[in-house]
Amino acid sequence: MRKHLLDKYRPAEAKLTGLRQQVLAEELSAEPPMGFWTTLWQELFLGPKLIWRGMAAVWLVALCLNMASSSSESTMQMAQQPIETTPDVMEVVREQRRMRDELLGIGVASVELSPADRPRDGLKPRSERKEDYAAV
Amino acid sequence: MGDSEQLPVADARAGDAKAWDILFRRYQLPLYAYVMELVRHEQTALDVVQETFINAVRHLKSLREDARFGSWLFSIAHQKVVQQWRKQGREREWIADGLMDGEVEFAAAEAGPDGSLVEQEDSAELLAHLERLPLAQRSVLVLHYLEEFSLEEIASITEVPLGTVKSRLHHARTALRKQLEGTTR
Repeated sequence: MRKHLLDKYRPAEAKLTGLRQQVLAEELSAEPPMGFWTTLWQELFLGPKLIWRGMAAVWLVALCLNMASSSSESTMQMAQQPIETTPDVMEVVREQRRMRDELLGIGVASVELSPADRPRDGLKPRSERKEDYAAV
Repeated sequence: MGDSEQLPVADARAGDAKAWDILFRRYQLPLYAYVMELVRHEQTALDVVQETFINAVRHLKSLREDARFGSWLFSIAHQKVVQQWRKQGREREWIADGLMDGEVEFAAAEAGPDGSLVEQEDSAELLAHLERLPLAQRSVLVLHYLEEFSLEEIASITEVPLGTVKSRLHHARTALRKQLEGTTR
């Protein structure tokens, strides 16, 4: 029975041979499957190039912002450095200190008052003078 | 026949193209004959054989025993045929044929009077009657005579229980005998 079955379909053998050769040529010439690490590398780094470019742009912006913010630190450093003083600057500083002392009353006795500013002898405030009259 | 012959499956696993060519050349015609007996359409049968070869190359790792290469190849082809039937809506035909299996209690599977009768008769005439058998019985009978697969291998290929295979084989032989007796009278 086997022989008759095979003989029945033998005319199709030429097509089967062509089919067989085509399959082997395509399947066996294909690239071998990649290993796990190779696949992982390709999927993570070589595949999504657009994503990596976007991330690089974000990092660049962050770097620029960081550099800009670091310039304010140099300002503080500059402020801490001693400045060169000139006579005009020293005079302004002395005047400002004098005004500060006057306001705070620091070292007032040493200051000479004008005659109009000196307190008069015997003169008392009104509230104290009323008490004197009442005593009589 | 079956899987007793030495086949270069180990070399095929290593990607040896010559080994693959030997394997496919050995099975291409029996595979095509089996599929044609089920689908009765040349182009469909060629497509099924091609898909079977492609699957075999890609999934040889799933074959556990090299000696079972033949039955493994036929099981792939059988699954492809069932998929074709599903596409065509013919799956019911296969299932309906299989429902007959439970009708007869079948204890012995070995060739009895029915089997020897089938062997002795003119095979050409048998082939003519083969077409009239239901799909499920035809499948078992062709696998049995074409590649001399064991009943266990046939059960594995067609994904049915061993008892079902025995039953189908019995039914198939009985039906053929009746047809032969009918024609000789």
